[in-house]
Amino acid sequence: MEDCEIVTLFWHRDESAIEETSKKYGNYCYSIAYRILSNHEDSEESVNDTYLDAWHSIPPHRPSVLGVFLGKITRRIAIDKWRANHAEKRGFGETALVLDELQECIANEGDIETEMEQKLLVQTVRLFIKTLSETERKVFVSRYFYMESVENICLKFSFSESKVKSMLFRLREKLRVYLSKEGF
Amino acid sequence: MTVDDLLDAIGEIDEADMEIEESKPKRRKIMWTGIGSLAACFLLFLFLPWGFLRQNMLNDKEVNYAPKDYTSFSVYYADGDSLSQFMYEIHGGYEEMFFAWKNQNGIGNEVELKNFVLESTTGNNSDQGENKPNGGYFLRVTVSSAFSEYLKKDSKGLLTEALKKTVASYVGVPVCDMEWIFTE
Repeated sequence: MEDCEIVTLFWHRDESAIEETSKKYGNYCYSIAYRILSNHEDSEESVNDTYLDAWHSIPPHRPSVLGVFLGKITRRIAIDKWRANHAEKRGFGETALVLDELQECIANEGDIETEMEQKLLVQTVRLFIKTLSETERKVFVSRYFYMESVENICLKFSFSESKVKSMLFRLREKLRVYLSKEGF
Repeated sequence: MTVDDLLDAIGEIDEADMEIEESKPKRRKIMWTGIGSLAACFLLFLFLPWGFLRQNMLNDKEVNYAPKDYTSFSVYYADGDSLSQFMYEIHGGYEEMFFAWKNQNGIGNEVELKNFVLESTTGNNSDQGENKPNGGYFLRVTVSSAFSEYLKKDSKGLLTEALKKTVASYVGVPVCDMEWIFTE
């Protein structure tokens, strides 16, 4: 079923929207959740919570790319679960590695106090992504949005491990400089 | 800004920038229709002796297959209600082939390949009193039990069909049937 047809089911409050979403994007959402959580039960729960969130969001939202819309929800839910599970200690796994890498981009550590500041940060990161080449953007999104392992990224793009690692290092450095210039 | 703020902000990047990641890169569908008879003859000439050599290599009833030079093959993946294919190039054995299939079908790292066996489907030729391969092979794949969850969601059996076709493309022999074995 096409995305627009599934979204129409949501708008008409037709519960088959969930079934159709599950058929088309269930594996995709599960993969995102599992990369973050490394746990089957929590990942399944995240996917089910994603469907519920989508049910409550559509309407009023009418996402143009349903998969990406769902992927963002799953990522957010899974990361929140990960944080709850690792409140005491960061632990291991891909999510911990990604956080360690992104730590390099933080020049001035401090809490963001207002919703406006968080929105400004989102806007800054979006603009940063648009400065990247197509390949850089794909690699950045693979690693820091989808939390894919370096090994997966090597295979997806047919790059060597050293190439992916050095590319990610340069991207983090670019992001650090960009954020610093924007006052973060 | 904390690293958690940055991680959250990355989760809100523009959907247009993620569309590039969402679509499978370098998708090259093999379109056999419209290829001229000269091109078809050339391909037949190219692959015929190679298939004969592979058949001789696979005379054993059961092999743990580890080909050496198969660098270019088709990875099949579930695409809605049918299968699509995607050209891949790797410099490795069946583990990398399986990884490519896994990656293309959105299967996460929780699924690990434990064993991979191709077995010739021998038949007894009563005229000559000897066992000869029926021309096809039986595939037996041992994976971690997490994969059973993916199979439960795959009501049309596309994942299994995709792997059979991928292995057939990779090895160069027909794969008639397969069995999944789950282990911890």
